[in-house]
Amino acid sequence: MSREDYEIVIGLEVHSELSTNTKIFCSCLTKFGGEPNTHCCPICTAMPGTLPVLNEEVVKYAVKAGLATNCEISIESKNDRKNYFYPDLPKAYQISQYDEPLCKKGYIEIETGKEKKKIGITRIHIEEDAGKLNHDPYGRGTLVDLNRAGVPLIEIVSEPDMRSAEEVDAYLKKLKSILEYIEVSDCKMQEGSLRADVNLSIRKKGATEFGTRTEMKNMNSFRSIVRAIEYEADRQIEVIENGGKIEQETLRWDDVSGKTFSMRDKEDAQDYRYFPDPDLPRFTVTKEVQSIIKESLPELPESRKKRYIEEYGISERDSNILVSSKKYSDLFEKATMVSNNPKAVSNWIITEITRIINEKEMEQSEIPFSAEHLGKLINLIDKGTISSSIGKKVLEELFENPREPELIINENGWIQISDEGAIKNVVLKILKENSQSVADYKAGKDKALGFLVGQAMKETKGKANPKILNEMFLKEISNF
Amino acid sequence: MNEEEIRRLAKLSRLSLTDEEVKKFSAELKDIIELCQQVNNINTDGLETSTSSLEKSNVFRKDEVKECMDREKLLRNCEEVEDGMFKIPKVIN
Repeated sequence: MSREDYEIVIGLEVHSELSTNTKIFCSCLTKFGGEPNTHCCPICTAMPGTLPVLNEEVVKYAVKAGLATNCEISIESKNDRKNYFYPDLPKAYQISQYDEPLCKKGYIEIETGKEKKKIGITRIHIEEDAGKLNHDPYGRGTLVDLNRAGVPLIEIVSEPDMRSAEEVDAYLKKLKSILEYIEVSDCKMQEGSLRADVNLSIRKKGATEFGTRTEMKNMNSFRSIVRAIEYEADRQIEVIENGGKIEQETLRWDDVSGKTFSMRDKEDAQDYRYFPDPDLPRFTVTKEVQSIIKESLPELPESRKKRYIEEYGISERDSNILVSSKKYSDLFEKATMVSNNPKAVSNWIITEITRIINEKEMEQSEIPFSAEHLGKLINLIDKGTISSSIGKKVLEELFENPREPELIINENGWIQISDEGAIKNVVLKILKENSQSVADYKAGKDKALGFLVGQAMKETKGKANPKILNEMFLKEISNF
Repeated sequence: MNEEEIRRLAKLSRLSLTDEEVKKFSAELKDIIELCQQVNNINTDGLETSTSSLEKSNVFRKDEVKECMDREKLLRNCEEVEDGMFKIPKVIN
């Protein structure tokens, strides 16, 4: 038996912090960062005698998420207490939803390679986030910061429909982009506003029963999730192949060692003793409210993609990349309005901008310049004011210190030389200085011309109009 | 409510109970549960299930930021404070 004989079965629980102004049950700020314990009040720190009151926007945001993922929205809902003891949870229970989630029975569509697949969404419910534990630098205790306690979350539970790390990656990216498009969460994985628990089991191919699953908690980067899945699937297969049994347990993924570790001992099996929260009355989302929210949903990635292919002639592959994040998609649309050259905008985003973002390890949402800047940059190239290699330098500048592209060009003296007289002088100079290359070219070595053009570009610091430069070389070289 | 259940509940709540206390609570909780059982004997045929004693529903708050609590005041009753945070015994992760 080998790995090919097994099928991996994966389901995800994704937690996403909602970008409402205030917490779910009190009027404290939800903003990330801030001095410890400055976004707190008696309610979110669980002082005795306080009364939580539900933030209406939280319900609205969760319903948006449900509608955008094809869920049924419950007309009647309630909040429940999930009891567990941990110091990041000051009440010793989390207010969540148990048997009546706000949204259920949805799906999203993913694409891997050429295959399209529906991944079921079991449910989406609202709940509160916990605080943050910091370890005392001297190791003498634990320090509790409750700024995050009470920040609203939605938990999106998928069906065990995924069969590979690739599908999980596609699902998460799709989900992230949907949540960004409908503007309910900023989905910054580095700040923990999007994190996933991965439930994984294996079974022999063709089997209909699920194997025993393990759960990996709080993964917050795509890369770690993919690595953890590969590792955990291999580990389970090895256990089974050696005649062992998989224990149902919670695991912690360690990115440094690239391994999973058991988090809790078995006798600590969780028992959350859910019950309806007596402080919070039931709430309803009527059909009318649902349809008002539905009307307010913006255009979703699927529909934008279709438009890019049909209206702008962008390839399916590139369209997929463009709609993968709202930032890219908005950048593309707005820059296209300025430059009227969708293909160029698409190419700049997919190659140059993506390259710089990867080098700088930034998130797409952190791109500092505006779509107008990008559109104007492309205009300057299209008009011949600058060459595309100078365009790349302008782009680098836009990342460093965003300002009008025209200003950047003027400040740096980067305007393209299109004056034939000036170019001719450079060409003659280079031809004189490189007689060997001239001879090589005449002897049939076409490459030598490329070298000469390169020298001329160097001489003009990349500012010569490449088309005129090439033509000038071809014209003048015969005179040498 | 046997002693084993009392021990499990105590563990879930991070309470340390002496053997004597376990005996005591086991008996007391048994009485309480028996008392509550009487509610189960009431005939509820034809009544809708209710999950809250509150008559009202849809009590919402607007999503408007209000001033948070002064940190010093918030931490005032805390036994130990460090760097503006509640200091508690070390939690092993």
